[in-house]
Amino acid sequence: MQPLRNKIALVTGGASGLGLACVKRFAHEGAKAIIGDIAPPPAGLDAEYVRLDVTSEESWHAALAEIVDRHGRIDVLLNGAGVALDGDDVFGCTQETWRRTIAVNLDGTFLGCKLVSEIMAANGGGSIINIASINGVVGDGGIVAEGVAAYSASKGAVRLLTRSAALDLAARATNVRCNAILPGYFATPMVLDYLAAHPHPGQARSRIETAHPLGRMGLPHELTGMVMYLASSRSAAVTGAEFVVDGGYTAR
Amino acid sequence: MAGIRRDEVHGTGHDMSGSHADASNMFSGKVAIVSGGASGIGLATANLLAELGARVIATDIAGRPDGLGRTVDFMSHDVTDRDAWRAVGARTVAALGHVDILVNCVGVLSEGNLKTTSLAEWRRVIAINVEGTFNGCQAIIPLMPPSGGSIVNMASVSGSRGDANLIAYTASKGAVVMLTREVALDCARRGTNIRCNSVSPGVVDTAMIADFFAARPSATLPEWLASQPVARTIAPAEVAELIVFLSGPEASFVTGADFPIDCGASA
Repeated sequence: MQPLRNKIALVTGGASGLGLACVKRFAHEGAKAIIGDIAPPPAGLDAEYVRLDVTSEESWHAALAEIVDRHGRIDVLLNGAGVALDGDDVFGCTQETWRRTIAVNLDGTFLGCKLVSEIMAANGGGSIINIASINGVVGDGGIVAEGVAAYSASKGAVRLLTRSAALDLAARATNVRCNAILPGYFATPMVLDYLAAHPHPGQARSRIETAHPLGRMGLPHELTGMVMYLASSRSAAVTGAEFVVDGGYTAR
Repeated sequence: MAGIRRDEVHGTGHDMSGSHADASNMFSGKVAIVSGGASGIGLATANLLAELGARVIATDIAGRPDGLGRTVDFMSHDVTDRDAWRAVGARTVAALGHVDILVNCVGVLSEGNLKTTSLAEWRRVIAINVEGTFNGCQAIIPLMPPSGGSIVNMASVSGSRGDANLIAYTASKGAVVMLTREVALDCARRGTNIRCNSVSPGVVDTAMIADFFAARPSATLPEWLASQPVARTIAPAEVAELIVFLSGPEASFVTGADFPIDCGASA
Protein backbone atom coordinates (compact mmCIF):
# COMPACT_ATOMS: atom_id res chain seq x y z
CA MET A 1 0.00 0.00 0.00
CA GLN A 2 1.40 3.36 -1.02
CA PRO A 3 0.55 6.43 1.10
CA LEU A 4 0.61 8.75 -1.90
CA ARG A 5 -1.47 6.54 -4.19
CA ASN A 6 -3.94 8.64 -6.20
CA LYS A 7 -2.90 11.88 -4.51
CA ILE A 8 -2.96 14.89 -6.80
CA ALA A 9 0.51 16.48 -6.64
CA LEU A 10 1.32 19.74 -8.42
CA VAL A 11 5.03 20.38 -8.92
CA THR A 12 6.04 23.86 -10.09
CA GLY A 13 9.29 23.89 -11.99
CA GLY A 14 8.60 20.21 -12.58
CA ALA A 15 10.01 20.13 -16.12
CA SER A 16 13.65 19.97 -14.98
CA GLY A 17 16.07 19.51 -12.11
CA LEU A 18 14.89 18.64 -8.62
CA GLY A 19 11.28 19.30 -9.62
CA LEU A 20 11.49 16.72 -12.39
CA ALA A 21 13.08 14.17 -10.06
CA CYS A 22 10.17 14.67 -7.67
CA VAL A 23 7.62 14.35 -10.47
CA LYS A 24 9.08 10.96 -11.38
CA ARG A 25 9.08 9.87 -7.76
CA PHE A 26 5.48 10.98 -7.20
CA ALA A 27 4.46 8.93 -10.22
CA HIS A 28 6.50 6.00 -8.90
CA GLU A 29 4.61 6.24 -5.60
CA GLY A 30 1.27 6.04 -7.38
CA ALA A 31 0.40 9.73 -7.18
CA LYS A 32 -1.00 11.75 -10.05
CA ALA A 33 1.86 14.12 -10.76
CA ILE A 34 1.13 17.40 -12.53
CA ILE A 35 3.97 19.51 -13.88
CA GLY A 36 3.39 23.25 -13.73
CA ASP A 37 6.12 24.98 -15.71
CA ILE A 38 6.69 27.58 -18.39
CA ALA A 39 8.68 24.98 -20.30
CA PRO A 40 7.05 21.79 -21.53
CA PRO A 41 8.40 18.64 -19.85
CA PRO A 42 10.46 15.98 -21.58
CA ALA A 43 8.41 13.42 -23.47
CA GLY A 44 7.46 10.05 -22.06
CA LEU A 45 6.75 11.05 -18.46
CA ASP A 46 3.96 9.53 -16.41
CA ALA A 47 2.70 13.03 -15.56
CA GLU A 48 0.28 15.68 -16.73
CA TYR A 49 1.39 19.15 -17.75
CA VAL A 50 -0.18 22.55 -17.28
CA ARG A 51 1.48 25.69 -18.51
CA LEU A 52 2.26 27.83 -15.47
CA ASP A 53 4.20 31.05 -15.10
CA VAL A 54 4.55 31.16 -11.33
CA THR A 55 5.16 34.92 -11.38
CA SER A 56 1.72 35.59 -12.84
CA GLU A 57 -1.42 35.43 -10.73
CA GLU A 58 -3.52 35.09 -13.91
CA SER A 59 -1.42 32.13 -14.98
CA TRP A 60 -1.93 30.50 -11.57
CA HIS A 61 -5.70 30.99 -11.79
CA ALA A 62 -5.84 29.45 -15.25
CA ALA A 63 -3.64 26.48 -14.33
CA LEU A 64 -5.49 25.77 -11.09
CA ALA A 65 -8.88 26.01 -12.80
CA GLU A 66 -7.69 23.41 -15.31
CA ILE A 67 -6.44 21.07 -12.57
CA VAL A 68 -9.54 21.42 -10.40
CA ASP A 69 -11.74 20.91 -13.43
CA ARG A 70 -9.90 17.68 -14.21
CA HIS A 71 -9.30 16.28 -10.70
CA GLY A 72 -11.48 18.24 -8.30
CA ARG A 73 -8.72 18.82 -5.78
CA ILE A 74 -4.99 19.20 -5.08
CA ASP A 75 -3.41 17.21 -2.22
CA VAL A 76 0.23 18.19 -2.53
CA LEU A 77 1.94 21.32 -3.82
CA LEU A 78 5.70 21.34 -4.32
CA ASN A 79 6.86 24.88 -5.01
CA GLY A 80 9.99 23.91 -6.89
CA ALA A 81 10.25 26.66 -9.51
CA GLY A 82 13.38 28.67 -8.94
CA VAL A 83 16.13 30.55 -10.73
CA ALA A 84 19.72 31.45 -9.92
CA LEU A 85 20.73 34.13 -12.42
CA ASP A 86 24.15 35.28 -13.59
CA GLY A 87 25.52 38.54 -12.24
CA ASP A 88 23.88 38.14 -8.84
CA ASP A 89 26.60 39.73 -6.71
CA VAL A 90 25.65 42.52 -4.35
CA PHE A 91 27.42 45.25 -6.30
CA GLY A 92 26.63 44.10 -9.81
CA CYS A 93 23.08 42.78 -9.40
CA THR A 94 20.85 44.82 -11.68
CA GLN A 95 17.33 45.72 -10.72
CA GLU A 96 16.16 43.44 -13.51
CA THR A 97 18.08 40.46 -12.08
CA TRP A 98 16.87 41.28 -8.59
CA ARG A 99 13.23 41.54 -9.61
CA ARG A 100 13.27 38.43 -11.79
CA THR A 101 14.83 36.35 -8.98
CA ILE A 102 12.38 37.61 -6.38
CA ALA A 103 9.46 37.19 -8.78
CA VAL A 104 10.15 33.53 -9.55
CA ASN A 105 11.57 32.29 -6.26
CA LEU A 106 9.50 34.30 -3.81
CA ASP A 107 6.37 35.72 -5.47
CA GLY A 108 5.87 32.38 -7.22
CA THR A 109 6.02 30.52 -3.92
CA PHE A 110 3.73 33.05 -2.25
CA LEU A 111 1.12 32.74 -4.98
CA GLY A 112 1.29 28.95 -4.81
CA CYS A 113 0.81 28.94 -1.03
CA LYS A 114 -1.98 31.51 -1.22
CA LEU A 115 -4.03 30.05 -4.05
CA VAL A 116 -3.48 26.32 -3.61
CA SER A 117 -4.02 26.36 0.16
CA GLU A 118 -7.56 27.61 -0.49
CA ILE A 119 -8.26 24.65 -2.76
CA MET A 120 -6.71 22.27 -0.22
CA ALA A 121 -8.64 23.76 2.70
CA ALA A 122 -11.90 23.39 0.81
CA ASN A 123 -11.11 19.70 0.33
CA GLY A 124 -10.13 18.84 3.90
CA GLY A 125 -6.41 19.53 3.87
CA GLY A 126 -3.13 19.08 2.10
CA SER A 127 0.61 19.47 2.22
CA ILE A 128 2.63 22.36 0.76
CA ILE A 129 6.39 21.96 0.39
CA ASN A 130 8.51 24.97 -0.48
CA ILE A 131 12.03 24.63 -1.82
CA ALA A 132 14.24 27.15 -0.01
CA SER A 133 18.01 26.71 0.11
CA ILE A 134 21.01 26.61 2.41
CA ASN A 135 21.59 30.11 1.01
CA GLY A 136 18.46 31.10 2.90
CA VAL A 137 20.42 30.35 6.10
CA VAL A 138 24.01 31.29 5.30
CA GLY A 139 25.53 33.61 2.73
CA ASP A 140 27.64 32.23 -0.02
CA GLY A 141 31.06 32.99 1.48
CA GLY A 142 32.92 32.76 -1.83
CA ILE A 143 31.80 29.26 -2.81
CA VAL A 144 30.24 30.74 -5.91
CA ALA A 145 32.46 33.73 -6.57
CA GLU A 146 29.85 35.27 -8.84
CA GLY A 147 27.56 35.87 -5.89
CA VAL A 148 24.04 34.92 -4.84
CA ALA A 149 22.63 38.18 -3.51
CA ALA A 150 19.07 38.17 -4.82
CA TYR A 151 18.98 34.37 -4.66
CA SER A 152 19.88 34.30 -0.95
CA ALA A 153 17.41 37.05 -0.17
CA SER A 154 14.65 35.21 -2.00
CA LYS A 155 15.38 31.93 -0.20
CA GLY A 156 15.61 33.53 3.24
CA ALA A 157 12.22 35.03 2.53
CA VAL A 158 10.82 31.64 1.48
CA ARG A 159 11.82 30.24 4.88
CA LEU A 160 9.85 32.85 6.78
CA LEU A 161 6.98 32.81 4.31
CA THR A 162 6.73 29.08 5.04
CA ARG A 163 6.58 29.62 8.79
CA SER A 164 4.01 32.39 8.60
CA ALA A 165 1.89 30.46 6.12
CA ALA A 166 1.97 27.39 8.39
CA LEU A 167 0.90 29.44 11.40
CA ASP A 168 -1.91 31.07 9.45
CA LEU A 169 -3.13 27.75 8.06
CA ALA A 170 -3.01 26.15 11.53
CA ALA A 171 -4.85 29.06 13.14
CA ARG A 172 -7.64 28.66 10.62
CA ALA A 173 -7.78 24.89 11.28
CA THR A 174 -7.44 24.13 7.57
CA ASN A 175 -5.49 20.88 8.00
CA VAL A 176 -3.11 22.28 5.41
CA ARG A 177 0.53 21.90 6.39
CA CYS A 178 3.38 23.99 5.00
CA ASN A 179 7.07 23.13 5.31
CA ALA A 180 10.33 24.03 3.64
CA ILE A 181 13.22 21.94 2.38
CA LEU A 182 16.64 23.57 2.31
CA PRO A 183 18.84 21.74 -0.17
CA GLY A 184 22.57 22.12 -0.45
CA TYR A 185 24.12 21.92 -3.90
CA PHE A 186 22.64 19.18 -6.04
CA ALA A 187 23.84 17.94 -9.40
CA THR A 188 20.98 19.60 -11.29
CA PRO A 189 20.98 21.50 -14.60
CA MET A 190 21.03 24.74 -12.56
CA VAL A 191 24.40 23.81 -11.05
CA LEU A 192 25.82 21.75 -13.92
CA ASP A 193 25.10 24.51 -16.46
CA TYR A 194 26.82 26.98 -14.17
CA LEU A 195 29.86 24.70 -14.01
CA ALA A 196 29.87 24.06 -17.76
CA ALA A 197 30.01 27.78 -18.44
CA HIS A 198 32.69 28.41 -15.84
CA PRO A 199 36.21 29.28 -17.03
CA HIS A 200 37.66 26.91 -14.40
CA PRO A 201 34.99 24.24 -14.02
CA GLY A 202 37.21 21.80 -12.12
CA GLN A 203 38.13 24.35 -9.46
CA ALA A 204 34.58 25.61 -9.24
CA ARG A 205 33.25 22.08 -8.79
CA SER A 206 35.85 21.28 -6.18
CA ARG A 207 34.98 24.44 -4.20
CA ILE A 208 31.34 23.41 -4.17
CA GLU A 209 32.04 19.80 -3.21
CA THR A 210 34.41 20.63 -0.35
CA ALA A 211 31.89 23.10 1.08
CA HIS A 212 29.78 20.05 1.95
CA PRO A 213 31.29 17.98 4.76
CA LEU A 214 30.20 14.83 2.92
CA GLY A 215 32.55 16.00 0.15
CA ARG A 216 30.14 15.86 -2.74
CA MET A 217 27.01 17.34 -4.24
CA GLY A 218 23.66 15.71 -3.67
CA LEU A 219 22.04 13.61 -6.36
CA PRO A 220 18.45 14.50 -7.27
CA HIS A 221 17.07 11.19 -6.00
CA GLU A 222 18.53 12.03 -2.56
CA LEU A 223 16.01 14.84 -2.20
CA THR A 224 12.91 12.99 -3.29
CA GLY A 225 12.58 10.87 -0.14
CA MET A 226 12.36 14.02 1.98
CA VAL A 227 9.67 15.37 -0.32
CA MET A 228 7.69 12.12 -0.14
CA TYR A 229 7.90 12.16 3.66
CA LEU A 230 6.56 15.71 3.87
CA ALA A 231 3.91 15.06 1.21
CA SER A 232 2.44 12.03 2.98
CA SER A 233 0.48 11.71 6.19
CA ARG A 234 3.56 10.13 7.80
CA SER A 235 4.48 13.75 8.60
CA ALA A 236 1.02 14.75 9.85
CA ALA A 237 2.52 16.39 12.96
CA VAL A 238 5.00 18.46 10.98
CA THR A 239 4.22 22.02 9.93
CA GLY A 240 6.10 25.31 9.81
CA ALA A 241 9.38 23.41 9.88
CA GLU A 242 12.56 23.40 7.87
CA PHE A 243 14.31 20.31 6.57
CA VAL A 244 17.94 20.74 5.64
CA VAL A 245 19.27 18.26 3.06
CA ASP A 246 22.76 19.56 2.55
CA GLY A 247 25.46 17.00 3.26
CA GLY A 248 26.33 18.93 6.44
CA TYR A 249 26.88 22.32 4.71
CA THR A 250 25.12 24.35 7.41
CA ALA A 251 26.26 22.23 10.37
CA ARG A 252 29.47 24.26 10.66
CA MET B 1 0.38 2.72 17.56
CA ALA B 2 -2.17 5.47 17.34
CA GLY B 3 -2.22 7.98 14.55
CA ILE B 4 -0.26 6.16 11.89
CA ARG B 5 -1.42 3.23 9.87
CA ARG B 6 1.22 0.68 9.14
CA ASP B 7 0.31 0.63 5.47
CA GLU B 8 1.43 4.25 5.23
CA VAL B 9 5.08 3.27 5.31
CA HIS B 10 6.24 3.43 1.75
CA GLY B 11 9.07 1.62 0.08
CA THR B 12 12.50 3.13 -0.22
CA GLY B 13 15.93 2.33 -1.43
CA HIS B 14 14.62 4.44 -4.29
CA ASP B 15 16.39 2.89 -7.15
CA MET B 16 16.85 4.60 -10.43
CA SER B 17 15.51 1.66 -12.40
CA GLY B 18 12.09 2.37 -10.94
CA SER B 19 11.50 -1.00 -9.33
CA HIS B 20 9.61 -0.83 -6.09
CA ALA B 21 11.38 -1.72 -2.87
CA ASP B 22 9.40 -3.87 -0.50
CA ALA B 23 8.63 -1.67 2.50
CA SER B 24 8.78 -4.60 4.89
CA ASN B 25 12.41 -5.23 3.89
CA MET B 26 13.60 -1.64 3.81
CA PHE B 27 16.09 -2.30 6.63
CA SER B 28 16.82 -5.93 5.86
CA GLY B 29 20.34 -6.86 7.00
CA LYS B 30 20.71 -3.69 9.09
CA VAL B 31 21.52 -3.75 12.79
CA ALA B 32 20.09 -1.03 15.02
CA ILE B 33 20.59 -0.13 18.68
CA VAL B 34 17.84 1.96 20.26
CA SER B 35 18.52 3.29 23.75
CA GLY B 36 15.47 4.19 25.81
CA GLY B 37 13.70 1.42 23.98
CA ALA B 38 11.42 0.39 26.84
CA SER B 39 8.87 3.17 26.36
CA GLY B 40 7.64 6.09 24.33
CA ILE B 41 9.51 7.15 21.22
CA GLY B 42 12.28 4.58 21.73
CA LEU B 43 9.82 1.70 21.94
CA ALA B 44 7.92 2.88 18.85
CA THR B 45 11.18 3.31 16.93
CA ALA B 46 12.53 -0.13 17.93
CA ASN B 47 9.29 -1.76 16.82
CA LEU B 48 9.10 0.16 13.52
CA LEU B 49 12.71 -0.64 12.60
CA ALA B 50 12.06 -4.30 13.38
CA GLU B 51 8.89 -4.31 11.27
CA LEU B 52 10.92 -2.92 8.38
CA GLY B 53 13.41 -5.76 8.61
CA ALA B 54 16.20 -4.51 10.89
CA ARG B 55 17.74 -6.56 13.68
CA VAL B 56 17.03 -4.33 16.65
CA ILE B 57 18.56 -4.23 20.12
CA ALA B 58 16.51 -2.06 22.46
CA THR B 59 18.17 -0.98 25.69
CA ASP B 60 16.79 0.68 28.77
CA ILE B 61 17.45 1.07 32.46
CA ALA B 62 13.93 -0.31 32.96
CA GLY B 63 13.23 -3.97 32.20
CA ARG B 64 11.92 -5.39 28.96
CA PRO B 65 8.42 -3.99 28.34
CA ASP B 66 5.44 -6.01 27.17
CA GLY B 67 4.96 -3.81 24.12
CA LEU B 68 8.30 -4.61 22.50
CA GLY B 69 8.07 -6.63 19.30
CA ARG B 70 8.91 -10.32 19.59
CA THR B 71 11.88 -10.02 17.25
CA VAL B 72 13.45 -7.12 19.15
CA ASP B 73 16.32 -8.08 21.47
CA PHE B 74 16.55 -6.28 24.78
CA MET B 75 19.44 -5.38 27.10
CA SER B 76 19.32 -3.57 30.43
CA HIS B 77 21.60 -0.60 30.28
CA ASP B 78 22.37 2.70 32.04
CA VAL B 79 23.39 5.24 29.39
CA THR B 80 25.47 7.23 31.86
CA ASP B 81 27.70 4.18 32.40
CA ARG B 82 30.41 4.05 29.74
CA ASP B 83 31.31 0.44 30.56
CA ALA B 84 27.67 -0.52 30.08
CA TRP B 85 27.70 1.13 26.63
CA ARG B 86 30.85 -0.80 25.70
CA ALA B 87 29.19 -4.02 26.85
CA VAL B 88 26.10 -3.32 24.73
CA GLY B 89 28.36 -2.69 21.72
CA ALA B 90 30.48 -5.78 22.34
CA ARG B 91 27.48 -8.07 22.78
CA THR B 92 25.86 -6.69 19.64
CA VAL B 93 28.99 -7.14 17.55
CA ALA B 94 29.54 -10.64 18.94
CA ALA B 95 26.04 -11.64 17.89
CA LEU B 96 25.50 -9.61 14.72
CA GLY B 97 28.92 -8.44 13.55
CA HIS B 98 28.44 -4.69 13.35
CA VAL B 99 26.04 -1.80 13.98
CA ASP B 100 24.43 0.30 11.23
CA ILE B 101 22.01 2.49 13.17
CA LEU B 102 22.12 4.09 16.61
CA VAL B 103 19.07 5.87 17.99
CA ASN B 104 19.74 7.69 21.26
CA CYS B 105 16.25 7.92 22.72
CA VAL B 106 16.91 8.12 26.45
CA GLY B 107 15.75 11.31 28.08
CA VAL B 108 14.41 12.74 31.31
CA LEU B 109 12.25 15.79 31.84
CA SER B 110 12.65 17.81 35.01
CA GLU B 111 10.91 20.90 36.29
CA GLY B 112 12.99 23.60 37.90
CA ASN B 113 14.20 27.16 37.43
CA LEU B 114 17.53 28.78 38.22
CA LYS B 115 16.68 29.07 41.89
CA THR B 116 15.02 25.71 42.50
CA THR B 117 17.31 23.45 40.45
CA SER B 118 19.91 21.82 42.65
CA LEU B 119 23.32 20.98 41.30
CA ALA B 120 22.51 17.30 41.83
CA GLU B 121 19.37 17.53 39.71
CA TRP B 122 21.17 19.60 37.06
CA ARG B 123 23.90 16.96 36.85
CA ARG B 124 21.37 14.12 36.69
CA VAL B 125 19.55 15.67 33.69
CA ILE B 126 22.76 16.60 31.87
CA ALA B 127 24.26 13.16 32.56
CA ILE B 128 21.31 11.25 31.11
CA ASN B 129 20.31 13.52 28.23
CA VAL B 130 23.68 14.80 27.06
CA GLU B 131 26.36 12.49 28.42
CA GLY B 132 24.21 9.45 27.66
CA THR B 133 24.00 10.56 24.03
CA PHE B 134 27.72 11.37 23.90
CA ASN B 135 28.60 7.99 25.41
CA GLY B 136 26.44 6.22 22.87
CA CYS B 137 28.05 7.97 19.92
CA GLN B 138 31.55 7.36 21.25
CA ALA B 139 30.96 3.67 22.01
CA ILE B 140 29.03 2.72 18.88
CA ILE B 141 30.57 4.74 16.02
CA PRO B 142 33.69 2.52 15.95
CA LEU B 143 31.38 -0.46 15.44
CA MET B 144 29.80 1.04 12.32
CA PRO B 145 31.14 0.21 8.87
CA PRO B 146 32.85 3.32 7.45
CA SER B 147 30.86 2.74 4.28
CA GLY B 148 27.77 3.93 6.07
CA GLY B 149 25.92 4.31 9.30
CA SER B 150 23.35 6.60 10.82
CA ILE B 151 22.84 8.11 14.24
CA VAL B 152 19.68 9.88 15.35
CA ASN B 153 19.69 11.80 18.62
CA MET B 154 16.69 12.98 20.58
CA ALA B 155 16.58 16.76 20.93
CA SER B 156 13.35 18.72 21.56
CA VAL B 157 11.56 21.94 20.72
CA SER B 158 13.04 22.86 24.11
CA GLY B 159 16.47 22.74 22.48
CA SER B 160 15.85 25.98 20.63
CA ARG B 161 13.48 27.80 22.95
CA GLY B 162 14.08 28.74 26.57
CA ASP B 163 11.70 27.88 29.39
CA ALA B 164 12.41 29.34 32.81
CA ASN B 165 10.90 26.32 34.53
CA LEU B 166 12.76 23.68 32.51
CA ILE B 167 16.24 25.04 32.83
CA ALA B 168 18.20 21.79 32.93
CA TYR B 169 16.06 20.14 30.28
CA THR B 170 16.30 23.01 27.76
CA ALA B 171 20.05 23.31 28.30
CA SER B 172 20.47 19.57 27.80
CA LYS B 173 18.50 19.57 24.55
CA GLY B 174 20.38 22.58 23.18
CA ALA B 175 23.54 20.62 23.91
CA VAL B 176 22.22 17.59 22.02
CA VAL B 177 21.61 19.73 18.91
CA MET B 178 25.20 21.00 18.90
CA LEU B 179 26.67 17.62 19.87
CA THR B 180 24.84 16.21 16.85
CA ARG B 181 26.50 18.73 14.52
CA GLU B 182 29.92 18.00 15.97
CA VAL B 183 29.49 14.24 15.61
CA ALA B 184 28.30 14.72 12.01
CA LEU B 185 31.26 16.92 11.11
CA ASP B 186 33.73 14.64 12.85
CA CYS B 187 32.43 11.55 11.05
CA ALA B 188 32.55 13.41 7.70
CA ARG B 189 36.06 14.74 8.39
CA ARG B 190 37.27 11.19 8.92
CA GLY B 191 35.94 10.32 5.50
CA THR B 192 33.35 7.93 6.84
CA ASN B 193 29.84 7.87 5.47
CA ILE B 194 28.35 7.89 8.95
CA ARG B 195 25.62 10.50 9.30
CA CYS B 196 24.28 12.07 12.49
CA ASN B 197 21.06 14.06 12.88
CA SER B 198 18.64 15.00 15.62
CA VAL B 199 14.88 15.25 15.87
CA SER B 200 13.06 17.88 17.92
CA PRO B 201 9.58 16.80 18.89
CA GLY B 202 6.87 18.90 20.48
CA VAL B 203 4.48 17.38 23.01
CA VAL B 204 4.54 13.62 22.49
CA ASP B 205 2.20 11.17 24.19
CA THR B 206 4.84 9.39 26.28
CA ALA B 207 5.29 8.13 29.82
CA MET B 208 7.93 10.82 30.31
CA ILE B 209 5.40 13.58 29.80
CA ALA B 210 2.58 11.74 31.61
CA ASP B 211 4.82 11.26 34.66
CA PHE B 212 5.88 14.90 34.50
CA PHE B 213 2.30 16.17 34.68
CA ALA B 214 1.30 13.52 37.23
CA ALA B 215 3.74 15.21 39.62
CA ARG B 216 1.60 18.37 39.36
CA PRO B 217 4.14 20.82 37.99
CA SER B 218 3.38 24.54 37.63
CA ALA B 219 2.51 24.10 33.95
CA THR B 220 -0.45 22.12 32.62
CA LEU B 221 -0.75 19.88 29.58
CA PRO B 222 -3.34 22.18 27.95
CA GLU B 223 -0.88 25.07 28.32
CA TRP B 224 1.83 23.05 26.64
CA LEU B 225 -0.51 22.01 23.85
CA ALA B 226 -1.56 25.63 23.37
CA SER B 227 2.07 26.42 22.51
CA GLN B 228 1.62 24.28 19.40
CA PRO B 229 -0.33 25.93 16.57
CA VAL B 230 -1.91 22.53 16.01
CA ALA B 231 -2.91 21.78 19.60
CA ARG B 232 -2.71 18.00 19.85
CA THR B 233 -0.30 15.49 21.30
CA ILE B 234 2.02 13.78 18.85
CA ALA B 235 2.02 9.98 18.80
CA PRO B 236 5.35 8.22 19.49
CA ALA B 237 4.81 6.34 16.22
CA GLU B 238 4.79 9.65 14.32
CA VAL B 239 8.21 10.55 15.72
CA ALA B 240 9.40 7.03 14.94
CA GLU B 241 8.52 7.59 11.27
CA LEU B 242 10.83 10.61 11.13
CA ILE B 243 13.62 8.80 12.98
CA VAL B 244 13.35 5.85 10.63
CA PHE B 245 13.44 8.17 7.62
CA LEU B 246 16.66 9.73 8.90
CA SER B 247 18.12 6.30 9.72
CA GLY B 248 17.70 4.93 6.24
CA PRO B 249 18.97 5.28 2.69
CA GLU B 250 16.43 7.94 1.76
CA ALA B 251 18.35 10.44 3.90
CA SER B 252 21.77 9.69 2.40
CA PHE B 253 22.60 13.39 1.88
CA VAL B 254 21.31 14.47 5.29
CA THR B 255 23.77 15.02 8.11
CA GLY B 256 24.38 17.49 10.93
CA ALA B 257 20.81 18.71 10.88
CA ASP B 258 17.94 18.97 13.36
CA PHE B 259 14.39 18.13 12.32
CA PRO B 260 11.32 19.52 14.08
CA ILE B 261 8.18 17.43 14.51
CA ASP B 262 6.20 19.79 16.66
CA CYS B 263 2.80 20.72 15.17
CA GLY B 264 4.20 24.13 14.28
CA ALA B 265 5.60 25.03 17.71
CA SER B 266 8.94 26.27 16.38
CA ALA B 267 7.47 28.15 13.41
